[in-house]
Amino acid sequence: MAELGFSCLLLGLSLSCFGVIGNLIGIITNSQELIVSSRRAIYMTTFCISISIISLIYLFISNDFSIKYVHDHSNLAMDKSYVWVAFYSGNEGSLLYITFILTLASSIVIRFNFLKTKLIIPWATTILSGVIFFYCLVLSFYANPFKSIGTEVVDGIGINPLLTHPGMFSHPPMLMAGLAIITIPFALANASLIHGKKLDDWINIGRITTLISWGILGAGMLLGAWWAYTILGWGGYWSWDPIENVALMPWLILTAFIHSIMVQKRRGMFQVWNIILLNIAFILAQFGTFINRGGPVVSVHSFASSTLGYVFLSFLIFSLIFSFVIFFWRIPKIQSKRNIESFLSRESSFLINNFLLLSITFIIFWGVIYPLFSDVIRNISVTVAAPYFNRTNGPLLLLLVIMMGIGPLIPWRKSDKKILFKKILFPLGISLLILLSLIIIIGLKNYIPIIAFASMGFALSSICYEWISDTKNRISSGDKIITAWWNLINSNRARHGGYIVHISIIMIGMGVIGTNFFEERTDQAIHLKESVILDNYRIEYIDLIQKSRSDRITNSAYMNVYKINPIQYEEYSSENTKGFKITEKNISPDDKNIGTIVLKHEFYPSFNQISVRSGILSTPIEDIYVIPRDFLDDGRIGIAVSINPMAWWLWAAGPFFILGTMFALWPSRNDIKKNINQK
Amino acid sequence: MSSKKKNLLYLSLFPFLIFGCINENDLSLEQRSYQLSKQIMCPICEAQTLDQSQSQLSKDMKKTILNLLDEGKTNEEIRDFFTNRYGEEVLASPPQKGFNVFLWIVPSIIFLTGILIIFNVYKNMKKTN
Repeated sequence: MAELGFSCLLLGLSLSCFGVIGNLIGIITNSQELIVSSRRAIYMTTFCISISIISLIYLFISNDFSIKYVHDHSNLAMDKSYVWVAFYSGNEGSLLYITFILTLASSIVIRFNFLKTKLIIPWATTILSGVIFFYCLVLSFYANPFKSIGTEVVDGIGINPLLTHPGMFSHPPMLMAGLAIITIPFALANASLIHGKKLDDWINIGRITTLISWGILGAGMLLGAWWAYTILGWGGYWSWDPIENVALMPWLILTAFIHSIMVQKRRGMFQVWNIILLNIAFILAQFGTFINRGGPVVSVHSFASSTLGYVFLSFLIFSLIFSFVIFFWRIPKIQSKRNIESFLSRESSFLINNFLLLSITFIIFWGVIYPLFSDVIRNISVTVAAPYFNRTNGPLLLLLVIMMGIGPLIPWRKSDKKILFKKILFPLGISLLILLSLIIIIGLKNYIPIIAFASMGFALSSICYEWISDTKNRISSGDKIITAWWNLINSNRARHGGYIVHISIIMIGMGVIGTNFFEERTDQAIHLKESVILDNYRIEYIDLIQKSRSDRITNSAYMNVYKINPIQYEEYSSENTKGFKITEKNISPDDKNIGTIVLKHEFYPSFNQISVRSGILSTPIEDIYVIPRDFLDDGRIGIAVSINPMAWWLWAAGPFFILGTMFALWPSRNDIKKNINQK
Repeated sequence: MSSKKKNLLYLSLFPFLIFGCINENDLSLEQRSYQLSKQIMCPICEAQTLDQSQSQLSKDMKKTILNLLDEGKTNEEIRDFFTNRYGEEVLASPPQKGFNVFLWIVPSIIFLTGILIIFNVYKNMKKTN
């Protein structure tokens, strides 16, 4: 089976090589047969890579530990459902997976679009074959997943225990797929640039593929954050780790693209700029691969690290040179037909949106490479983590939220100041209301969350304002409320899908501000039957169950959570700490039990690794989040109790994000009609 | 440069100034130690702060932070204490002094360059109209 898998890899390598050369010769000699044949080579590559994948999965299922990759990433004790995770948990397997996604996506796009974008497809196929060729090359010679150990082996080392979590079934493959699919719009954009004449042909399919990549990447990052929050046991969800940053950067650039492509679609402007954005996104995705696999930066995500850094660095430099050469070769021929007409126009607001997103991306990029910079120049290692990123990006993200409220209100081309002022009055009023009520009624003193909540209220109410006023117009022409709203958002799916995504971003914003600025936290060590009191809650330690399995020792601590009246416990509180502990006899009978949580602490001796699962009681207002720290010899358990306000909204945003993206992607009746007419 | 433009430039610096002014005297020792545990890295773990790490060393370091706070040390003195022991790497982000000013100044430069580019776009817009 390993031989079959490896032969298919080699076959894929030669086919993709033919895809590049055949296409180039076909284009030069104008030979249609050669172009068609090399297009079909991509379909065949997809088939070969699928066979490789099936062989690797078969090797995992049949426990063939004589294969090094299988030996290193699974063992007999591993549950078979984790084969899917084990398959991409290392460098070689994940590269095979990326190659598969890339070939599959390329085949689909080429197969179903070569009529509409006929002229640029040969060039796009060339570029895609080139990228696939590179990955097949790496797989065949540098990271062969089918490498044999040489002798028979009874059992493998096993999968990294941190990865055995349901979140791992979707988070890594989604991120890798999202990053791989960026190649498609990149290839289409550069193909149209090389072709030189059809600069608007690619934008529909380019926008769709970008939205798919962007949606998958975004959902993947959210899932990763959710996984970190529930399993990593440090109470956070985003740590500005280099690997997180290199996934976020292309996503931000794609976000800029899906806004500015609308300007090209509607007004025929930003043609060159959109191609630049995709070039940056692709190069940043390559930068991510480089950092992830043997890059020089320290990260917590070192699951797929390898010594292949220089291979990916070479490819990064090659893609950089490639896009620069194509760009400067073609750019003198292209001129924008139109200019921005007014500062107060939709075009202009997208320009500012792009500027903010690019600034944030470059600021993150600088933070990622600064440790290298410092190391090279003055030979001192430094760490750049959360304090830098929060402080520099925080204000810009806030401006972005405000723009999210203003942008949609401004019409294309130019707007009347008076009409704009009228429209902006309602959201402005709402945000002022939020501002004042936060200061006067709730009595907040820290101005950052106040400004943040007011801005988010502004953005949200501006969407609501538009929906309400446009729905009203439709009602007056005889529709019912729900059908009126449904018809409204269906009249322009790209726009209203965008609004749904904006709402999900505001929900994420609420979670971020809530957990960062209003978190309460205390560290305590308690015996059985003792309680920790924090804010309005009492957490009582009721039971401990210990289990030994073949690969791990599990301690599960059970705790009851009670809602309390803090005044009843005032006499036990201490001045220095926010939380405090009390014994069984001091418990008030008025406390209301609101749930039981389980804290898990698992030790894996063969990996010398601890995996901690926090106990979480989640409500839309706040999460009670308890991390098990230590199991002390005297029977006490050391716990960190925190109250994370509004963390629930971070995860509730996920479905809205996916829904909004799918809604924006859903083809309208007009699109389908056009398609049929063309064929 | 006209005075209007200058004012706009100053205004664009404003967002960078408003963040990060937290008065440490308002916070309890527990809160301060929690904050510090987010600003100091675990020296033996890969890219984890003391707060995130489960290692014994980071537990000991958290105890040291509490002891130093009890002695009345300021946050800066505590950060310096760990920097002297483990090198600059132990801070989650380097301080805004010496060579590291570079790290903190570049974001403003990026932002200002962007502002200038946008200004140019609008200037061209006025010309062509």
